Amino acid sequence: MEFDGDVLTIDMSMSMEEVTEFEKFIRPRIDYIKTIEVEEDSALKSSAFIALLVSLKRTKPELKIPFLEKELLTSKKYGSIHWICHD
Amino acid sequence: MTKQEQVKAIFIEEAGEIIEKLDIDIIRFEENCSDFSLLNEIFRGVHTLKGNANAFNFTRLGEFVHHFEDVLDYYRSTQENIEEHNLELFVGSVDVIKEVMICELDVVDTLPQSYHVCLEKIKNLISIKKNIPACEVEQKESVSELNDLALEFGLGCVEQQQNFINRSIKDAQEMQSEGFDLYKIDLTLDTDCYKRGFDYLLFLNMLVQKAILLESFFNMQGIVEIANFKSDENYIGKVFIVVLTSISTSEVEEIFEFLFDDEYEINLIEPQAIEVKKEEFTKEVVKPSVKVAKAAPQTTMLNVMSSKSTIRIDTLKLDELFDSVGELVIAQNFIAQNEKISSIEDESINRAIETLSKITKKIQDRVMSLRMVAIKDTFDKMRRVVRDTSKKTGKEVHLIVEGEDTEIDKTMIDSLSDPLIHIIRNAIDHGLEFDADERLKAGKSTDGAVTLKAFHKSGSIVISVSDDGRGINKEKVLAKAIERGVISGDENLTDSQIFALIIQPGFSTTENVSDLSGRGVGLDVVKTSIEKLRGKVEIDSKEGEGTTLSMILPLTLAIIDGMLVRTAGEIYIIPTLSIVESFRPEKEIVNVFKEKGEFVSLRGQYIPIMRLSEVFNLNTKRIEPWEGILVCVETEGGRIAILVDELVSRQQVVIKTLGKALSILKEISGGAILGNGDIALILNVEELRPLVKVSHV
Repeated sequence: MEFDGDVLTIDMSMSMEEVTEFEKFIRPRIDYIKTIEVEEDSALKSSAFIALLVSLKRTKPELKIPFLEKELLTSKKYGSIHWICHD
Repeated sequence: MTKQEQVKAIFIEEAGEIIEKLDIDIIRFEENCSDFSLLNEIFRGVHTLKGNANAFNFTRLGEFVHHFEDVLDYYRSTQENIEEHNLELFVGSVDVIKEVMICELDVVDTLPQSYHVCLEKIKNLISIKKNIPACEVEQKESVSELNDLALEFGLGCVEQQQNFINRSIKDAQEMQSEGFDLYKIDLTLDTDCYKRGFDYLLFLNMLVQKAILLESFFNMQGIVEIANFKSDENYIGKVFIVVLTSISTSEVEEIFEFLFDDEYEINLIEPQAIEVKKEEFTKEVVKPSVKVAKAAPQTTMLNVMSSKSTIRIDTLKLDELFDSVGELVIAQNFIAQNEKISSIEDESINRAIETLSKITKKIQDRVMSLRMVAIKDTFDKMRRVVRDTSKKTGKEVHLIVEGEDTEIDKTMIDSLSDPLIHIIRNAIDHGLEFDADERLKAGKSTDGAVTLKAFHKSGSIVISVSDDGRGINKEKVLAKAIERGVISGDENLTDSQIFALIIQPGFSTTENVSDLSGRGVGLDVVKTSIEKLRGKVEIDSKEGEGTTLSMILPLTLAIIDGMLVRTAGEIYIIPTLSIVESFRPEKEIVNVFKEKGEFVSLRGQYIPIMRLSEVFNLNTKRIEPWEGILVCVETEGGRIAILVDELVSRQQVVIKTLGKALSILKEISGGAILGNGDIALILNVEELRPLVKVSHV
């Protein structure tokens, strides 16, 4: 996890426990973050990760999460995953 | 290599194959643009490429193929006639994909100009076809997609939701073939699933193991704002999975056996039963949990299918296997020919040796066949060459392909593309008449024909390129050869020797140098490449009727068909491909010219004699030519007669490299281990010629 001004960069490969930690971390800081960049170098570990990002976007619609906007994650491990995150 | 690097290497290989296939298919489609099944195949290739490119963060490639896919999707779904300039755009797009792929692999920041030009054209085309401003293509696309999804997941419109999944099912059905079943699985995990140790991803990962297609659609409608959100609770209400897999229904059920019954529903989809048109969607096509009879498999096999039904093996491993089998053959021959063993009068031992021999032969044949691949793909690639050259020269050309199923050593296939490209370009640019009028005057049809043919001949593979053009003017070739000093003019050359002059380095009879050919280097490259493969090039031509350039190649690079000869007690192997004839000469036809060496007069031609024992400084009693055997071989510089003591036998031998120490002996191209364990050297007849020149000229 890395902060650069108002841009937060996180790794996609968070375990369930790490997602819970991340949730605790971001909950009080959401107002100060404008963009969340997701590094996709390693594999997704928990679907709760995507759910949390969707929740953040739902809470703060102006928050930029390019990863979510792609609405597609393709990997050898899970095939193609599609999602939609708006209301 | 890390796991990630390995996966990336697989992607690169697969992407290369997809692009190679696209290159071929797009030309086939250009020739028959009403073949929408082919367009579907192209679409699927682009679709797979898009997924893979995005997976590996090749965003520039991903973006391009995304838009290209949209255009293809438009045409395949509307089945609208494709305008000629748009066909040109499709062909150009495949070129761009090839270039961008290289940029992505080499991490080159600057993209070729054609990328932006082509992408712009594609976006414009989409905007025209879909009636939206070009600048909004990307935006509109995503918005409309978003709206579609919103309808499906957010607004609960059941029909549209099912239609969206159906689109995925339809794509999967098009890929379906024998041995693969298509399932739609609905997963509805409880909020406490994470605590129970389940995650949607877990099931996706298990399904992907045996799947050739796996798409899932996560319904995020139920996700709450962060104030009420708990990471350890599941808010993803439903996940729809479309999977094309080789596993049975019961095996799929096993994957979900630890879930509650109401948390999953497995539906086996009947092959090719679904229509995707929104208004025509019917629920009946999906039969919940009912095993349906399998429909006849589709005949079209896809890349993705073949990649799963075959195993990729590193060619190095194949080479190692081949070497080991070579050793096995040698060991088996040693046993079979060993005098001590054969003197044992025991029927069971003899039978065991015979069985060993048969099995060894069978293994050898099978391992050999692993290296053999049909030349079809290489021939298919040439369609593009013919098309491009035809457009550049303005000559209408038909390509006729024969014998594309002929199999050839994989190692050779890779080296054949460049020579073939040179020959085909040369045939169209220089072989065919200048224009249609010239052809009509010669009593031919306006369209030229280039025939690409592969066939077996006397234990070799022949690949020929024929044109029905002007043919070669022998006088012109001779005059040019004399002018260039290639020949003196005193030689009595046969037709084939005259034609062979055109593949000499720097030789060109054309007055105009084009960017296609005519630089006098192209055909020389062909000659060099083919000789590297231990093959040879032959040219036949009839003025006014056309020219045929044949590449004669050994069946494989690992085995050579050779004539075993003995001289001074040593065995040497002469490649039979080079041998014209062998004979014991009469004393009368052997002539000795002072300080010029020995010659044999054969059918009016003086052929220099070369003593093999002298080439290798073998200590032996000098015999007269009529006491030994002359093996007449064809070399680049003409025929020579190799004097040996006797012919031993003709057999196929496994070629072994000799290592650095012996590589300085240019007269030797390799070695082989004979059945009795002895080593025999394989002659490089092309390198024997200079020695003759020294002694005869």
